[in-house]
Amino acid sequence: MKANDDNKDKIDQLRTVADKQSAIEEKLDELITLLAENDFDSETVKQYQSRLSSALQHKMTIAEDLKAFEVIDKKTDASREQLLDEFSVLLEAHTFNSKATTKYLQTERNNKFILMAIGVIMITLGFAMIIMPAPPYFEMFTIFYFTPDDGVTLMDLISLIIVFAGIYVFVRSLYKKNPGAR
Amino acid sequence: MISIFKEDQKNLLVTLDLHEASLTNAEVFKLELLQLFETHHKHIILNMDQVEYIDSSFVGALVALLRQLMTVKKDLILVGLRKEIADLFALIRLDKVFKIYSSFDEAGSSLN
Repeated sequence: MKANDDNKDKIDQLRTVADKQSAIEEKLDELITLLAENDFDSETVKQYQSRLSSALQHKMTIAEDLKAFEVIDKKTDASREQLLDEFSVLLEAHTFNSKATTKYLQTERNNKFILMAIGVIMITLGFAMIIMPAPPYFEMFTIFYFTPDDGVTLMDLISLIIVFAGIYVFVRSLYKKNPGAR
Repeated sequence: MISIFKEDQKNLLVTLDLHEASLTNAEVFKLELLQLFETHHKHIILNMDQVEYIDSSFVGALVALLRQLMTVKKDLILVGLRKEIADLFALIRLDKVFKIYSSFDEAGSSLN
C-alpha cells in the first residue's frame, strides 16, 4: 500500500517537472515572438540580455562555466585581438571567482590522485593474486596446462584482468588533463 | 587603488593595492588605470602580488583594458600573480592573451 503511494508521488513529481518544462518552452516561444515583433534600441537589448543571462547563470555550475572557455583552445590561429573579443563575450556570460576555481582545481587534483591510487592498488592486487598460491578450489579451473603440475588457472586470468584494469585506470588518470596546468 | 612604482622610457610599473579585486572596484580600477595610461602613454606593467581574490568582473575589466591599450599598440603586462590567481588565469586560458611574469625585473628585461 505504502509502495503504491510512493510510486504515485513519484509519478506526480515527474508530471510536475514535465509540466514546468513545457511551460518554460511555451513562455520562451512567446518571448521570442514578442522580441521579433518589436523594435528595441541597443541599450534595451543589452539590458534584456544581461537579465536573462544572470537568471540562467544561477543554474550553471563552476565546471560548466569553466568548460565554456575550452572554446579558446580551438581557436589556434586566432590573433590576440580576436581572442580578447572572445574573452569579452565569455566573461559576460560566465561568472566565477578565484575561491571557486581554487576549490574546483583542488577537487580535480584529488580525483586524479584517488584514481591513480586505485590503479596502483588494482595492479598490486592483481600481481599478488598471480604470485600467491591459489586456493585449492580454483585449481580445478586450470584452463591451459604447461606441465601436468603447472598451468594457467581461472584465477590467473581474473588477476590479469584486474592488472590490466589497474593499468588502464592509472594511465587514464596520468593523461587526464590537469585543468590548472600551465 | 593604483600606485606608480617606477617609470622608465617605455614602461610604467604600477602596483594594484587591493586584496579583493571584484565587481565593487572593477570600474574604478579601470578608470584609474585608463587615466594613468592617458597621462603617460606607455606599456603598463601591473603588479598584482597583493591580490588574494579576483572575480570574473575584475577579469573582464582587465580584458577590456588590454583591448583598449592594444588599439594604440601598447600592452598591459601582469606580474606577481599569486598561485590561485595564476591558476584561474591558466584555467580560463587568459595566459594566452596576457603576458604574465613573476616580477617587474623579469617583465622589464623581456620587454627590453
